[in-house]
Amino acid sequence: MKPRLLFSDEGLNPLEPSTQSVDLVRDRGLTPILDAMAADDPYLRDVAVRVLLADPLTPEQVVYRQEVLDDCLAQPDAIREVYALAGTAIDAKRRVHAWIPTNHPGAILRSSVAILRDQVDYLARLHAFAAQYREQFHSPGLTTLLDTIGRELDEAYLAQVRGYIHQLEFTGGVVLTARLGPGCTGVDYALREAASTPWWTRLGDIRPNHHGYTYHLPPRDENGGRTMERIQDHGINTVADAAAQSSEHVLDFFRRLTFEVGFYLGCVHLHQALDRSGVPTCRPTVEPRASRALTCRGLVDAGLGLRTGRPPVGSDLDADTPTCSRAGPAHARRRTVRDRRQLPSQPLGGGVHPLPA
Amino acid sequence: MSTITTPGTVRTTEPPSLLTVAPGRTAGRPLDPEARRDLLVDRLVDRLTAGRAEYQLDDWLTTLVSAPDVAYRHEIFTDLQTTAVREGLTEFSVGLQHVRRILAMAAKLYYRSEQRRWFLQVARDYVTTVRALAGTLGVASLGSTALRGLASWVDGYVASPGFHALSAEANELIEQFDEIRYRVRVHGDWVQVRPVDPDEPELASRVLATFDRFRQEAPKSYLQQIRDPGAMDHVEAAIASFVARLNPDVFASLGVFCSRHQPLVPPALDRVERELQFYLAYLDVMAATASPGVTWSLPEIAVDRELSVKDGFDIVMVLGGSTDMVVPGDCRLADDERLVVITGPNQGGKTTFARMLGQLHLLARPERPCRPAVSGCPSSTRSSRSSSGARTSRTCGGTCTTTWSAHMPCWSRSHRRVWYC
Repeated sequence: MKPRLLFSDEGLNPLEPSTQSVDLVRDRGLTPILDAMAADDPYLRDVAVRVLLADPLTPEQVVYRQEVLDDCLAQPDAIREVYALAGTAIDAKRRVHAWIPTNHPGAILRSSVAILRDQVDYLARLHAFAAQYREQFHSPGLTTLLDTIGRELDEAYLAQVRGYIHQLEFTGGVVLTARLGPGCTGVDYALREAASTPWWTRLGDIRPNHHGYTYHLPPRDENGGRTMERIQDHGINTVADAAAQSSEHVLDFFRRLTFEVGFYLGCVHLHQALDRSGVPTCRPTVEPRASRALTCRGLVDAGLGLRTGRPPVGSDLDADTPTCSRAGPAHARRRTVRDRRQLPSQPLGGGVHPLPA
Repeated sequence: MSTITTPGTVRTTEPPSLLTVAPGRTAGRPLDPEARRDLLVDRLVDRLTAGRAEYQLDDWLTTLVSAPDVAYRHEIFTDLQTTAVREGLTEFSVGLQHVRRILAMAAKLYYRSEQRRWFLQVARDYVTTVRALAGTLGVASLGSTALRGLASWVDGYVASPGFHALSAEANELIEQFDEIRYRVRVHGDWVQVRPVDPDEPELASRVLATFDRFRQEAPKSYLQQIRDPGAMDHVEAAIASFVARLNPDVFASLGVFCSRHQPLVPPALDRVERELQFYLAYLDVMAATASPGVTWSLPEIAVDRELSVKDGFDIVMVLGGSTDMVVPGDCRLADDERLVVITGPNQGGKTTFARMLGQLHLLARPERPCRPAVSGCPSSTRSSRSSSGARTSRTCGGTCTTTWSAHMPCWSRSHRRVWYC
């Protein structure tokens, strides 16, 4: 389950560092824009840098993002809410003091279960968010995400997750199956979902064919205790690995969601900042690659507008023909842009300098 | 030829000795200790016996008293030049070492179920080892009397009812043990064992499947390496005893199996494997010292009055692990020549050359007066003096004895030694 808000397919992996040089930020005058997008959140600034300096987009990818952004601009509070929810969810390790150790199955299992127990509440809240806002979004990106959340994180699934979390606490002991190895000791332990058994079955050789044989450790038998713990470790090794991976999967999902929603929240911040500065914006139309179209009306340096707090003087640009001309005073009007450049899904238009995607 | 009782009821003859034509023939006298030290042959002996202390190879580093034994051993060395034969016999030796190691370990175990189960395991390993040996010897083109005899004996042993019963019972029992599954519940200070409940599904894969929908990238593994102590303790013994009560027939069969197949390895096969070390040790030294200028050959025992050494070298130099190229030397005494004078500049290799001759002389020299007509080996005295003043031992003829080395490859391209009275 991936958010797919930036790309309809796999696309950018937020967990991988950017390959672009940060000198591009200075070269393209992006600092005021990044500051506006961040709104004093260093994480949002980092997200913006990585997305803006990423590889060029196709026209379809630009349109995909523009449609998501339209929904975000229409429902900014919803975007802030899901950003806060996902951002809090990824902080689970620190919150539950559960850094997954790497040396003991029992400790790995306990830490992972603690993280999962914390995460399942955020999954439930995410499901509630999806139910609340599904009808208010229209873009393919957001509607697909919320449909997926509504379908994959329904009550039945969350109840199943809570059931496994409870089982993994092994309050009734650990049930394993095994076979005998070359020295008649147990090998190939496999953990089982235990059916509940009555308390009297612990009393020893009572009806052995049904309830089995029981051995009680003598008091203060430390060696025997270590053996029992080792047998348990054999059995829970695989499920500890499964639980740790599962907790990492859920955390990775929330990290990715935070990243992608964070980018659109940054775009909302930028739109609001440009609006406060009086810089007009528009939604650029992306023409096919072969059209070689590039037309702007009222094109301005957005960074200049953000720095001064006033709308700069705009320029018109007609570069559809081989001879490029720049016209007089700008006015906000739809323009077409050449799609050979890296183009963002941010609000572009008359008065805003095209930003790289 | 004496008989032994193999596991089961069939009696077979013993396998041939790999060291002497006539089994039980006693070895000759040890090498002269002073000469051994002076010529640094001790280092060769140390190298041969390193890592093989259990085999006590020193017992065989003596003179032989029979020229047929020399030829007997030469034949085996020739057969061992074939890679498949050498590797097959080496694997057989490794396999028997493993069997002995496990049997020794099992003998020290406290819990009977653990002992018996290890015996069963190593019995199958032993069967596999012997069958592999039979396969190796069966397809090899063997020229030596000893190895042909061994191949014949191994074939008969593998085909015997006793070995067949050992193999079949071991495999069947191991299959039965492999099919045993039990359920163990560990909770606090108690552990319970009972039959497997088919209504209790495996948990780890279900947990992974539940959360797989969140998978983003290839996951990191958190599986841990859990170190087991190796030996059973009282908790595992209790669990094993409970499992035995749940599977009484299998454990009863195990007890019968262990009683019936003692000893597992016939003493004669142990003896063969020990004798094999004599050859493998020497081959290991030859392989370890292979380098430019180093050539090994089987010495030729002649009846005329000639000493001929071609491309000889000081064995101690190559044993020392020197990576420098070895410069071999030749020496020839023919007709009435009796004296070798070695001269040359300082650091020219005179002492090394003399030591080389001394080593070859020590390891292939006459011991006692001989009867030329009966043994076919003439004998005479031979002595040499090097320019440094050292003198090799002056021998006064002897029987046609050779040292243990004369029937092994010598460190020269060719070595033709003459016995004189």
